[in-house]
Amino acid sequence: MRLPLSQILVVIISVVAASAVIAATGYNIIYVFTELVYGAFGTPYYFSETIARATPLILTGLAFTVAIKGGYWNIGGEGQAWVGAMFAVTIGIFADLPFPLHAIVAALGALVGGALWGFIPGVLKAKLEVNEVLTTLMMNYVAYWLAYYVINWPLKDRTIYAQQTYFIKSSAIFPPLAAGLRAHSFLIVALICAIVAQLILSRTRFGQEILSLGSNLAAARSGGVNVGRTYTKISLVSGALAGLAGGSEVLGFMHNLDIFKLAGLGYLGIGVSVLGVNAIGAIFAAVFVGALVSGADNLQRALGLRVSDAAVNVFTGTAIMCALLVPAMLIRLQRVWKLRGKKRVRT
Amino acid sequence: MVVNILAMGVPLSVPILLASIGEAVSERAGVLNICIEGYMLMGSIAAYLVAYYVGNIYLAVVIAILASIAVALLHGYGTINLGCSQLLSGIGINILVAGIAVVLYREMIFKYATIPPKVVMFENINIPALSDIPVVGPILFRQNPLFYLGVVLSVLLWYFIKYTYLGLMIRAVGEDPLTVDTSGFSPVIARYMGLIIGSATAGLGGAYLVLGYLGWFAPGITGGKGFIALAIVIAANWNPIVCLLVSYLFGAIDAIQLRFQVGGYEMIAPFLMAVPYAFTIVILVLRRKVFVPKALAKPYVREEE
Repeated sequence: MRLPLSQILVVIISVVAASAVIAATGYNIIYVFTELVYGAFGTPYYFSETIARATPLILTGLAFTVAIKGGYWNIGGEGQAWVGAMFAVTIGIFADLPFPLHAIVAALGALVGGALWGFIPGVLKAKLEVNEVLTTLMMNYVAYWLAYYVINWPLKDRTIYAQQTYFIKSSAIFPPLAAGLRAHSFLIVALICAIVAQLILSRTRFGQEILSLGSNLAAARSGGVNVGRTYTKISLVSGALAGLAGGSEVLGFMHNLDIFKLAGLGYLGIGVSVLGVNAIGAIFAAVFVGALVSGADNLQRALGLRVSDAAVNVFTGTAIMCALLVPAMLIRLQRVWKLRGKKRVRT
Repeated sequence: MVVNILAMGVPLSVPILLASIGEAVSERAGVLNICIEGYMLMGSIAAYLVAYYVGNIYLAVVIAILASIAVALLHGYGTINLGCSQLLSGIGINILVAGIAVVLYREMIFKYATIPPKVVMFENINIPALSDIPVVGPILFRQNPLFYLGVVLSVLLWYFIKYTYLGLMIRAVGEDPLTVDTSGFSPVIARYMGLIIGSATAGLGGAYLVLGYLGWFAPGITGGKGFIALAIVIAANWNPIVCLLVSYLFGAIDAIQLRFQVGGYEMIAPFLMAVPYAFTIVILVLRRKVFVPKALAKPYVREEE
């Protein structure tokens, strides 16, 4: 009754639950699923859309995964992504550098921005024992309103009405994976991050420290791990990853910053992390959510359903709840069975 | 003009007031509802649909509360019965409800009308005599009935938590569930009480957005108010009566911010919007060890042999 069975069950139950939702709205379930899957994987272009949507989610997913393995609840991926995006878009607009260098510097800017925003709650926890759940949560909204200011005033593109910044210079753009696609080369950065994160967690001393903090804080402390410093380091790494996600959207996907287009990245990333379990799993979970986004876009075209973003939320939310509840229910069932077995032996 | 702004702060504070007083009780029981935003959204859409299709706003309020409680029971089953993480469950529910509410809205309203039709709302009530007092009258006594309800509820909940047996059990289960268990009261029931109170007032807050403030529903109607409610609970030290004061303070900041949006100083507005969150962080730092329910967000699973 270990991982595989429970995860297969999670998938089955998610699909059943999602079907129930579709049936409740009166659409043909098989038709909806066919269009959904076709829209996500059916043609090379649709698949590239899936990849484009998945790329930042890999990074926010990793941000949460790395932190939670150390028992550090970074709910602030959302805000860190906003700050990363602000750094990236500023460098992208104003810096004067040749192509690969400009893009790399802007990406590093996103990394630094996210790390800084992640560092504040981390250092508050390390030095003053301030609960990071509440601070990271609050900082999401401080970051959002900061971005609202930056997008509407200093960097506002005055030539258009929409709430957007100027476009970044072409030298700062992470080019698409192939001409005409929106899937872009920041994917490579995301994949490298996933592999490095997995290696750090499984092979390095820092990874050991993270895992020991997450599994047994008291033991880690008495075992000589510098708890405060490790929390600070985790918050930096986690924030940097979320910041890169913001950079990915700006430098690879949107090429500017739009007040409506970054929201949800951090929270969805937490979902991705739950579904993916570990760093490599986050890649697949992000592709799953990306496929839902891309598939739902197609649903909208096919059915004239005006529910695309909402449908994604329903399916993702259902999958997250199933991923949480099903394993817990299995454990509970197992326990009940064991108890029954014991009682039978006794009598 | 100052009186105008101060009076404007009241309607803006009502949703966060309602959501925060229940959340304070719920967190006292150790149940953290990151999904309070989801409860409010569920309350809003339920209130709107009932008000639109049935036309009875009292029924709309009741259904909004029940819908919000229904969502909370999912949170409760996972976290209280099964011991799942309250944070992850809350985030999952927020995403799920954000989807469900918008699907409901688009399927049941938007298909037929591109501009959301207005529904009947609760009229403001001028309290006789009191509403004629200068300054205080227009600010406090010419408001929506749901505001008066919120004030009454905050006092009642404060009394309930502080002076009743069930309130004691709720506080105890938020500090140390094991003690409650050994004293013979079910920690599961105590936590469910907190959860239901919390989600009921949040649903009411969501209903207010539709029936007391806007008159229609929009997908982003809650716009982070659930998270402000979480902030208020912290700033108010988990005390429903202090929640009343803090939510008014945040509501007044919102009113000032709205004022700036028409005055030509629009760029100050986003900074004012960030103030409640920044303020809460400062409070968390300054008061870090004074009081937090010790078992907050910690699952309690009874050890069985």
